Amino acid sequence: MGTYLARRLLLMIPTLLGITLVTFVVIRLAPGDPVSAAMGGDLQPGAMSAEAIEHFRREMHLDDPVLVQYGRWVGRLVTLDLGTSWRTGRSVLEQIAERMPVTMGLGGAALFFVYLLGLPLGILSAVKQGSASDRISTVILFVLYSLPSFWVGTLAILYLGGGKYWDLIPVQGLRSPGHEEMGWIGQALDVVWHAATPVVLLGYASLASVSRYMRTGMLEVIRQDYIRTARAKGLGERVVVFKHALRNSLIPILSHLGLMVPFLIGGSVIVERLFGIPGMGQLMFQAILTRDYSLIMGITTVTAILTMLGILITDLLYAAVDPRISLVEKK
Amino acid sequence: MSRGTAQRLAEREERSLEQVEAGGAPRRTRGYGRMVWEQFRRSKLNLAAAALIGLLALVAVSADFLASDMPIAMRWQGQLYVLPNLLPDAKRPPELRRHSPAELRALLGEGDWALLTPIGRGPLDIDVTRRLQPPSAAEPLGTDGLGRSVAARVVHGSRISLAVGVVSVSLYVLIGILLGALAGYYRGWIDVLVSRLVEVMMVFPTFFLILAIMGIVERPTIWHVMLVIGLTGWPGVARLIRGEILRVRELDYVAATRALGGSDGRIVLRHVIPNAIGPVFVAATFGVAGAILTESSLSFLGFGTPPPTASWGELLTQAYDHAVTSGAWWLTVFPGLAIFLTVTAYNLVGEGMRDAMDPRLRR
Amino acid sequence: MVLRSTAALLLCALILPGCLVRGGEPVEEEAAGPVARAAGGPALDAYWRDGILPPGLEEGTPSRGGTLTVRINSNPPSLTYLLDSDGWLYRVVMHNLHEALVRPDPRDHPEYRPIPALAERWEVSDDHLTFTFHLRRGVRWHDGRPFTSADVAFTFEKLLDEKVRSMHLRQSFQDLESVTTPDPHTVVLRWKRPYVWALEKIGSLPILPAHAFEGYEGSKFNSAPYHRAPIGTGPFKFVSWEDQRSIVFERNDDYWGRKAFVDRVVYTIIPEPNVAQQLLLRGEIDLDINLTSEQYAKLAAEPKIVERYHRVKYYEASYTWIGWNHRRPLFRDARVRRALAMLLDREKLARALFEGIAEPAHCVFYHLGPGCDPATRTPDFDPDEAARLLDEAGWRDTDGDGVLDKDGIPFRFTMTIPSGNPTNDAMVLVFQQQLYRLGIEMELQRIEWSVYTRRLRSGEFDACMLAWIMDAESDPYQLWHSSQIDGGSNYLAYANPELDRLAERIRSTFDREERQAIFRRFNQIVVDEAPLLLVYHLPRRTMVHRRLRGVYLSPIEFFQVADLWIDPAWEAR
Repeated sequence: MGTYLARRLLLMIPTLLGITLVTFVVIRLAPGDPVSAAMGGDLQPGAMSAEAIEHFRREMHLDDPVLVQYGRWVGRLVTLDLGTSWRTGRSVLEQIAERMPVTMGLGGAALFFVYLLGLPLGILSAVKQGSASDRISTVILFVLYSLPSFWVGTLAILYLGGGKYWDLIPVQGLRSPGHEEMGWIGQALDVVWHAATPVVLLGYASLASVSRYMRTGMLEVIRQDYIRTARAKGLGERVVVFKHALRNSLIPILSHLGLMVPFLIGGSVIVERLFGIPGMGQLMFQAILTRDYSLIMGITTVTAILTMLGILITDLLYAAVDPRISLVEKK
Repeated sequence: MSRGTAQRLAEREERSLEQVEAGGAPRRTRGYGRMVWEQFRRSKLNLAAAALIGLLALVAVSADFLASDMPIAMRWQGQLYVLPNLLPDAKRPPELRRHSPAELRALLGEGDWALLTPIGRGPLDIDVTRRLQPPSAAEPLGTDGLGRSVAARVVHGSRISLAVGVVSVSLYVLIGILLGALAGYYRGWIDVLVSRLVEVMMVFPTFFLILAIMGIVERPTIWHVMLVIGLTGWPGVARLIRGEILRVRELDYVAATRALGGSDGRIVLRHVIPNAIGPVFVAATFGVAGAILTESSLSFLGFGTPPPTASWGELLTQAYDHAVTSGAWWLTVFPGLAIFLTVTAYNLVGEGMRDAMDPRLRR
Repeated sequence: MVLRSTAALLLCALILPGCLVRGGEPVEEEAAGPVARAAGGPALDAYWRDGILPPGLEEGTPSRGGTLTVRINSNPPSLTYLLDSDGWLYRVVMHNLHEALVRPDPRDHPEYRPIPALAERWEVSDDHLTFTFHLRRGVRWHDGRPFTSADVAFTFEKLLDEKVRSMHLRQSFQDLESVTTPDPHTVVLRWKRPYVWALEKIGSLPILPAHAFEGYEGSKFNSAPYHRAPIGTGPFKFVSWEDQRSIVFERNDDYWGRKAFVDRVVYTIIPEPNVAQQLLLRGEIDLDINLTSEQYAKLAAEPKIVERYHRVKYYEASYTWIGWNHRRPLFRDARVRRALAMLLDREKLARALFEGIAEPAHCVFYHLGPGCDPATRTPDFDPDEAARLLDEAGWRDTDGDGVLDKDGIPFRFTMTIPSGNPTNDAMVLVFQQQLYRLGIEMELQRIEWSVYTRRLRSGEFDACMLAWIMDAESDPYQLWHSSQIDGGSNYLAYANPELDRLAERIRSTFDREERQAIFRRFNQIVVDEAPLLLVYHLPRRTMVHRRLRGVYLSPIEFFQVADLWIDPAWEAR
């Protein structure tokens, strides 16, 4: 187990390097560079001497060849130094650390809600295959899958966000202005209240695929021989379903889980923009706008690491659930 | 991820797409195609979805005949103009340029006539005195923040969506087939490289990458959008092709053929392609839905189709900007509905095809 | 089978319904339709209607306490005005947290003469070259350390240091020769040449504490953590800054002057008007100076808003403009420029895009000040006259392709604007359409802000669009002098020897009347020569909560937060 883990972690490194190199090169091709971003923040009449520009460029090593700059960046990465956001001087790691809990929290809550609703739906569909409720739920889930999240979000804001129609949902951030004055419970409820719509938006599309996976997996398993054997042995239907079928149909779900991580992180850009939530998606968006290279690199790296960790955890869970799989590679 | 896991994942995905073939006999495409179509036809829903896609294509192609500020034909001040609606703005005759559409109409003289498009306005025709008007007889779907007809923009937006969908998916299907074939056929270091690349692409938060690239480009055009989506969507297809080639190689009769002196190339052509076409087609169909969603999302965020080109996503950006302050529901409902219906249609067709190809669901 | 005939039917259905319109018939006036406005709604008093503050808001006994919530609409890059010239930064920090040696009196219309701040008195030599400031005693920084002349010297040192990102302020002090501190409470500034606005510029230079920057020498100064948690000498102290969310100040009870009344000020950062509106409807914002024109007009229909807020519009010293790059031969003929200026229908756009609350610009200085003649007229929208001027300048459609040309060169150019402002986009698109009708092809390019500013500085554009926000009396040298074309702010590369002469002269004109005359003459030349297209003077559209007292509007300052208090009687309702 230990060697397996070590090997997997080591294998992540070339992939990580690949991702970061691609991002680095892409971003360096940008026409605006951080110097102009910083200098051009506001156009109050102010001269900017050529020497000052040169000085800043030298300090940021912007004129070195791309690979040298990349090498320097990797070198700092090893010491966990992701650099500083050069406009504000804040450490990239600090900014990411500030925003990450928000995005992970939203993503986690979305995942929770998706599995909470999706698994039972999938099971029900499988067990009642072909019935009216199965067909109806399939249709509804299909519709949900095809609804673009920014559309639903805008509709929600339009009709429920306090404009011409109703005022039922908060449309900004995770806290109300008077948040600091609320008690413990009040604050928690306030956050939940603000996070409700974004979480639903983030998750609903996955509801369809999760329940679908569950359904397919269950159906496959139900038809298998050992289930028939169990039934033949006279075990009750419920026992059959829950003890045997369920455990084995969790496997496709787990493979699905690993792949959801990049989606959740990427999908959050839209939701965070719609609702003004200070998460990683919003941070990435701002970083791109202001050509904050360090920040863009930092976020990409961290996201990639998170995704790879997610997949690693998925594989470990696989091994735990499926007795047929062992972690030792067989040739 | 390790090879074992990747393989397991590939197997599971392919199993739902693959036709379980007892004995591994090759398929004849002609009869197979017909059989799939028969299965597909059985569901009314599938047919409706396919019809919708057809309708959409029709709308996209004939957009200039549906919504243009120039008439389809007219006799104006004694001179006959045929199909001025097809002319790009730069090629419009000078005497027509000088006037706004309303002025042109007012200047129709005795004996003149004009055959207007059903939606009498074009997608780029600005009229700030008619901003943000709700749907009415004159403006069937209302106007946007610049007074442009929402109906015209939705009609012309279909062009962008379909173009992006079809072109980017075609691009990445080609890339995927190429890379997958190379990897499966030659194995060795090419396979390793391609597999690593596939892993990287799957791990990467591709939406971020697309966003970063679009945000960086100086003069983003719709071609950039297509290119970027095309360059990031190929891993699924590559894996499919590669998997199929690997599978075929293992089959007994292929070994036999090779032993008898048959070339690998022909084997690939005869066996891989017929088998792989189905799943690739399904993947492509879902891909179009996904590409349309991506383009709309990008345009919504401001990084997609550059204005003033009409795009459904851009209309939704306006919707968001004006949502609370003016309650312009028509900006939200109609373009969103367009996206939703299009994506649903493609998804339905994809599902339908997939089910039609699944022997277990054969009826 | 079915599909095929359905397709055919559809095709027919598409072609047929095009409506046929005949000439000679009375054209039905397409009712443009009234823009949906709420019928009825609360009765508005004259103040609401006209957007002015009712009188008497400064009366009454100030009461202490409460928290003020102010909306700002972007996250400032830092809290040090020395480093970043962000407009919000200035409004939030200057004279609240940071102070300068002097302060232009916001109530002193129209001259806004400086009154003592950190300097309690000063002397100016007769030749205007030596300024001696006597600093106030007993002033302490927010961390308790004493304020001395060393801090002033330190600030000037940083200002003039090339490695510090303070170019926007450094420009005004280019003639400063030396800064000396003979004792801890005296500062002597010596100038090379007399500069009439020396005191005003000093009034916008925040003094920073020398002791807070240990270890941040040279360019490290730019990224010191101080800039996100500053200490100053002003009536408010920094408490916290939650990035992108809020900046909180609290009252400084050890302030040397009149202490502020409210306990805390919370600046909430809300870029989206949607969200701001929601909070306004709930009464959770005290002050919002960033309403869109739409909101300004439509919120009048909300009883909850009318009963809770004053609606105010007021003008700062600002104007928006479209600029022509004079490096391009296309724009070197004044007739062409004047013709172009006549093709923007500012009146119509003001009504359509700004609910009528935008004044067509006629002055490149503070248009309500004495430096601008209210009778100055910039040309009205007149396409016929524009066509005539263009023809006179030699631009005709000689090849019949619909585009004007001259000497074989078609009239084509690119307008480059920053992305992210839908109203500007609208304006420019309408302009494009009008130009198209006359045979001029303008291509529109929207690019991101940092790329945009780079292009402006390097002159890589044909036409651009921008807005200047200025002081009540602003030095035209930086923007207009020909020496400022390379490396300065004269982005349009416009060189006019007469304007140069005036700009040089005005810097040392100490007589007020004479100065105003020079300003007016300057503006008249600009209006006649039309090196740029003056678009609008846009007012600030504001909501002020009725519970606030001590409210005073000044075009040169944000609301003086330190003067505001919360009326307990309103709270009790």
